[in-house]
Amino acid sequence: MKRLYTVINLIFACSLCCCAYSQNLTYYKSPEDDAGKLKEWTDATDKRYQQDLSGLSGKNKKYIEQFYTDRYKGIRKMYDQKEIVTNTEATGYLQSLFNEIAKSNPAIRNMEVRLAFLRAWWPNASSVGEGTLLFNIGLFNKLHNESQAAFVICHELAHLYLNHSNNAINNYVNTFYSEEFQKQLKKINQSEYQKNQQLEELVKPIAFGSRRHSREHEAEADSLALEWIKNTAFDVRDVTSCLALLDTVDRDKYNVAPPLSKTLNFKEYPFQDKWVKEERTLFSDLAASSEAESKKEQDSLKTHPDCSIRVNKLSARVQQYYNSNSRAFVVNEKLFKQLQSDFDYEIIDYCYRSGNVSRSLYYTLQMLTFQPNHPYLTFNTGRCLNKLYTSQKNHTLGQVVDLPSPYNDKNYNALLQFIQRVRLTDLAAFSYYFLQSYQSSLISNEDALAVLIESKDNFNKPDEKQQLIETYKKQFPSGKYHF
Amino acid sequence: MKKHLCSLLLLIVLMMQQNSHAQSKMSIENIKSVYLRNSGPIIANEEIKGYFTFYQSDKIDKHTNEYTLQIIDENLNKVKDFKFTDSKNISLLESSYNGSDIMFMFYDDDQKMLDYRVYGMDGKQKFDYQRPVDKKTRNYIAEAISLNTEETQGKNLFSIEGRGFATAIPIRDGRQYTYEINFYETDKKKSWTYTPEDADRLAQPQFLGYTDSVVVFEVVKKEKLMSNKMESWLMGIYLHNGKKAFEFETNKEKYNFFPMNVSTFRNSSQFMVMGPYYDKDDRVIKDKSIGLGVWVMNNQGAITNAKYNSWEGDISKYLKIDARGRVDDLGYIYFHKIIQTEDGNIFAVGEGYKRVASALGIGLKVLQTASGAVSSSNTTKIKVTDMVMLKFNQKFDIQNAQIYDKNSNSIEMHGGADFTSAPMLAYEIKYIYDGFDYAFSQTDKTHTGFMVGYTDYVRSKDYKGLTFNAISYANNNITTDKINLKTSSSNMRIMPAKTGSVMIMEYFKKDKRIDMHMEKIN
Repeated sequence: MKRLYTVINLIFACSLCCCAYSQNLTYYKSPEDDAGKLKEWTDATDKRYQQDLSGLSGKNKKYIEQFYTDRYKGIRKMYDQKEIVTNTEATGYLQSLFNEIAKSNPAIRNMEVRLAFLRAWWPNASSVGEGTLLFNIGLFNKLHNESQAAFVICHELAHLYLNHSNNAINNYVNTFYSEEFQKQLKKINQSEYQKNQQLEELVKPIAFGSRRHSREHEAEADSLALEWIKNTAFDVRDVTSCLALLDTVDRDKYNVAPPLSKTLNFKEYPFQDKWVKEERTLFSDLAASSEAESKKEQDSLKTHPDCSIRVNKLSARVQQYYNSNSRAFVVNEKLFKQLQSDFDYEIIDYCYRSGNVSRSLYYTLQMLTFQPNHPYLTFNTGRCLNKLYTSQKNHTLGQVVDLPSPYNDKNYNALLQFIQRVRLTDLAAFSYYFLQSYQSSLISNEDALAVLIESKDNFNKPDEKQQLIETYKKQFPSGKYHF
Repeated sequence: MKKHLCSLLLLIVLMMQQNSHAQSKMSIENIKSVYLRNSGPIIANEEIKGYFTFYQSDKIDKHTNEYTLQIIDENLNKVKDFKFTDSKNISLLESSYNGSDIMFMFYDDDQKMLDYRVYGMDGKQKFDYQRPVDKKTRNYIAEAISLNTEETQGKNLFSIEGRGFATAIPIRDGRQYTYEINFYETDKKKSWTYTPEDADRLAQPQFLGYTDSVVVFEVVKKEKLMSNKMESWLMGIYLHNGKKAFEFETNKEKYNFFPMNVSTFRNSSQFMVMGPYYDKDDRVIKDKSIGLGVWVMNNQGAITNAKYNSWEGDISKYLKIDARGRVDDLGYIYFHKIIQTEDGNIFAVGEGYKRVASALGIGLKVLQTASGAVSSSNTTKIKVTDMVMLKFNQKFDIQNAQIYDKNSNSIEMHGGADFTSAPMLAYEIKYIYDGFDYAFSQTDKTHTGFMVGYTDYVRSKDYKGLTFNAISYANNNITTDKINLKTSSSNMRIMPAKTGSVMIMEYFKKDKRIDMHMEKIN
């Protein structure tokens, strides 16, 4: 119960913080990436990849090489798609946290680490295995303090230090390409019947074993991370508070149902209840029974142990290591909170930029509940509605929206159902009437003005559109949009 | 013009085939093989509620396979896998949902058996019904397998909400062509079979719908197989005991009436029948029809209302009709679907077809005649023309008519088609040549709107290829939409989807992958 209040208070505090911040933030601007940092990291990634390849030997070299190449391509793709944040302030902050940890832990001081924020909405962090550590902004903006962030970094550093990723690759290749395993595969391949059943029987124990190892690796990483945190000024109690937080981390930060019937209800275009009428899909019961059936197996195949088990394993040591001089914030509390606030918007913006428009709209409408007149949020609502309109018109809606699913969050599903039910003309009307009520405040921004013009065009208001085009030309004579 | 969508139905697709590439070591992916046997929509109350895909997931022994029946919901989420072992020679012909249970209709070629399996929503099999296939019904099975397309889904297995499923099976015994109706309950294992009393005549039933007490069929009867004289009968059977409630020939009114399509009435135990009508003395094969008639009937078989719109009278105000009773340029009209909307309007969706001179047929005829042979070639071929939609009010007065242009589609017909009647030609184009471009219609449970889909082959500057076209009705407005279907996939299939959308299923041979995605219709 206490934790729930903490979460509510946190949301309230964050919303206040965002409101205060919005006084200065006329329009949100994505953190500008640093070309120098980008080059430094990509060069280092290339170099490390080449080193990793040249260090390979043995009969299974080419299979390990394939894994390394796939991993390398994956990282380069994240750089190419600007998924990795190279912004000076954000990366500098993470580096400060790292330095604070490394200061009192010589073992990690000389490790090759590229610690970066990832523009991903889902709460996660990962150690790729070749020095790249990725901290999803969707996790960072749900943490309570720097000590929790420091634990996340230490946990991923521990995976890197213990070489878990590369060991897993080696284990996989050495198992699957061993003479014994290949002999069994050949035997299965030659058999006429029950091939798939035999394959399943062959692979299942390995899969279970691999997941068990993975869970063991998580416990090892937790343990080592705690040992490192203990040596710093961060509060070790936040190791367990962070693990406990992970149990509820999938909940939205602004955990409210988007108030569609309020936001998109206009005198000239009243909201229709049928757009949001709750309807259970025919197979929801079937999906539930299917999920329950496979839960037992899923539990055995989980890569991470339950958070409560992880907390229990560390609790005694946390109590033992606690130092009353330690602090929740050590490096820069103000910047921590500012980044959290920025990342709320960055998640929305990157979802839009990367083509996940339904999720961008979802988070925007949730935040609008707390900040109804926020210029960026109103602008992005219109921008998303316009994008839904053009995508639906061009039959590419499926590329920018998720489909409803019994496995989705209920609130998100409600928005997805709504998108599926409304017609093209409805989308045009929503954008037009919604933006119209904010027109005077949006008109001074180039992007927002372009979105306004598009809404007039979609809703077939040529005169209004022309008027705004004239305004645009006057305000932005060498603007980036051409009408 | 129609370019057939390459159907993935019955196409055994090797999804992850064995790999014979020269690779030094083997991997799981190279060995594992899964074959898609069949897929189709799951329909309940006219709405698409999901899809099934039926895979052969393993070979168990010489006679047995392991199968996986995967249920996908209307938003393409995988919700359940049913795994079972069965004969290697089973086929999944159809599935249907009746609001509480799903029925899958299998055919077991080893045991020569139709196997109707009932699954509850908990995913467990409740029970099954078996119906042996003998020489009398094997033609039906052959046809059911060969005609397994989106349009034939829902043609053999009919859901009766909350009660069970009905089937209509044609039976052939020597020169006798008859049928049987079966009803399978789903709350308890109970069934009945109805067989016609006048088995001497050729008869073929078509499911029309059901009320709270009666399931209704149209039965087309003929004296002889080659006869062009068709009789149309309407028949109702009581759901609780399988006894006949009514049966009568549709010429009982002042005209000879040939129902082409039938629709049950919304919120009523009544249903309506639509089709061309002729004078009593006219020969359907040669004479022009007078117009388009509509009957409203109750479930005792009484005609409570009849309305006849003549080509030259009411309909000609909206469509130009020529002297032969054909809509100018459009030809004859085959009505695919009649839809009554919640606002009381009735829409009839048709497609034009006409005979045109066949250069190939004339050439062959000349050659055959010159050689002294008796020519069996036609001098005409069939041209499938445009789509048409007629709008009627509740009193069946025509309100509007609109032709939707598309490219024509020519079909060289079998010998003797020159003398086939227009209704019979339509039947052959639809069921034998699969020649109409109409794809499917879909509506929601409350009938607030509907969508009619058809394909076209476009050759324009901007685009050359197959298109899917939609005519939609919503908020008292008709809108049209077009989706270009040209992609890099090896095969593509458009399937009906939840209201307002279509499902596009693409097979990428090179990647051995099947993509399913939804697109909303505007």
